[in-house]
Amino acid sequence: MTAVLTAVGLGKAYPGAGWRRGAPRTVLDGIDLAIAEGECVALIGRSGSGKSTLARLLLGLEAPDRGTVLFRGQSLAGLDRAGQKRFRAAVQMVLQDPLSAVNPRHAVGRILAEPLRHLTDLPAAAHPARVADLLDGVGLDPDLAGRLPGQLSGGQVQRVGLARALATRPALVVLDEAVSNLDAPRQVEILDRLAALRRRHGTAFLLVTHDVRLARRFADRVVVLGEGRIVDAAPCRPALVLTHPAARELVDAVLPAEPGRP
Amino acid sequence: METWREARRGREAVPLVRDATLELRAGEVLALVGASGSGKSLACAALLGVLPPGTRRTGGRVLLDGADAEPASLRGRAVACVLQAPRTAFNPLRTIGDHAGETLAVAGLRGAPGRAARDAAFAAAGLGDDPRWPDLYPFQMSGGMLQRAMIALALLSGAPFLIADEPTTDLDLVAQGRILDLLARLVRERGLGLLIVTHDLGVVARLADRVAVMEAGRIVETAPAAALFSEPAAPATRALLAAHRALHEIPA
Repeated sequence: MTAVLTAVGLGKAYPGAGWRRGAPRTVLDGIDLAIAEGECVALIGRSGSGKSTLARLLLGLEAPDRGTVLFRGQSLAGLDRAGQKRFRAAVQMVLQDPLSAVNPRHAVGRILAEPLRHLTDLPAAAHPARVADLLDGVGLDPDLAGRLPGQLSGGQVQRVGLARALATRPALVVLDEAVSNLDAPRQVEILDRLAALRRRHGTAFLLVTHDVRLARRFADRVVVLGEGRIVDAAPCRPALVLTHPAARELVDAVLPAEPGRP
Repeated sequence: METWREARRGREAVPLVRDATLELRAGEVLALVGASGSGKSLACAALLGVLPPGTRRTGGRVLLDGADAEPASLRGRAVACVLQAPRTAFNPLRTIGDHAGETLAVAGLRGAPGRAARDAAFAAAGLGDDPRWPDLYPFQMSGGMLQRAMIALALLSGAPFLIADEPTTDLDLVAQGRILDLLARLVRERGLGLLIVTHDLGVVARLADRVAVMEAGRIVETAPAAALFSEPAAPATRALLAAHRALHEIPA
């Protein structure tokens, strides 16, 4: 399998802020990670472990201080305009807070057509049909294309964000806590839809989450971040076995399935 | 034993919560569960008299110790409140010590006894180890610390009841576990009556004595926690349980 996205020795530090001004704070250090075509990787860790920073570096939204990110073998920093466009179309992301990720003044149809217009060669006349397709694919009524985000529920807007990420038929979708805030029925529904999508199109996923249950249910393998380093990694099948204390802490924090059991 | 009965409300003739009756007892954890948008938070807002603009209460009563009570008179005195997003619940320009001062003023505590009560409440909420906490601003604290500070302020008010609306939804699972442990301990040691609003049946399994399930603005089932998991009656309960168990199972 070839890798869609590879991180080599990534490091990132942010300048010190607040009342402890001064020394820069190292957020990520020596991260090596490769996501193969069609593979589903879960990146888990506590709040502040560097998960979201790593996701942003992988997407090229920020430049690493050390190391490089390779898109199909080419460094992100060295991509020309056409290469950047190919990268943007191939690697998409869905964020945690759906309402802040869409323009509240744009109708759903326009939100979904935006990546089609900028990142694909699809003629404009074909956009409405494709938008209807995308909405249907995430379990939304195509008639919602005329609505504004504020007229939808949080779960519906999150699915709009997902449909937008899938609009360019990406090779990799990064989900940064994209299902964490939904209730259990919606989490299960979205994960099942994504799994179906994987089977149909061979899309790769990077699921960033603190919830081991979601990682275990959806991913092929789990990578654990602790204090800016990869501290543990293991396949999910036949059974997920994690040994590092930071990873055990996350596994042990899963709440009981039934009352009266530890 | 204390009883609350509540609520009936409509927005431009659209009923949002109908005939919701909850009974909360001292020393007991009642969980109010339901899918997003089922009216859980609104029912609690009606109970506290803090309905969002555009909604109004059209019926129902709140009873405290069997006597009619005004929701506004309960807030901060008989009922304290912990919210989902701790970061938006604090004034970003005031230190945590300032916030505690406001609560103390409402409780009528001043000077040395006030400071002692304040320190005891923050120690009980698990913030006592760090001597700097009164001088910290909300942005200098993690979500888990802020949620502890909010619980400390709730304790400081001396209210016998606590409403916690999705108190751990924004925290990671490790921080969530610790906050739930803290709430369980406070209920046990202080006999607090806790109403916890959640969509996560894992929280229910961990903490609740009784459970009320809400769907489309109505309470469709109320049962002891163990009975709800073993013999769910309402279709809404079964749907929530099915999804909850699906998340715990490991697909082949």
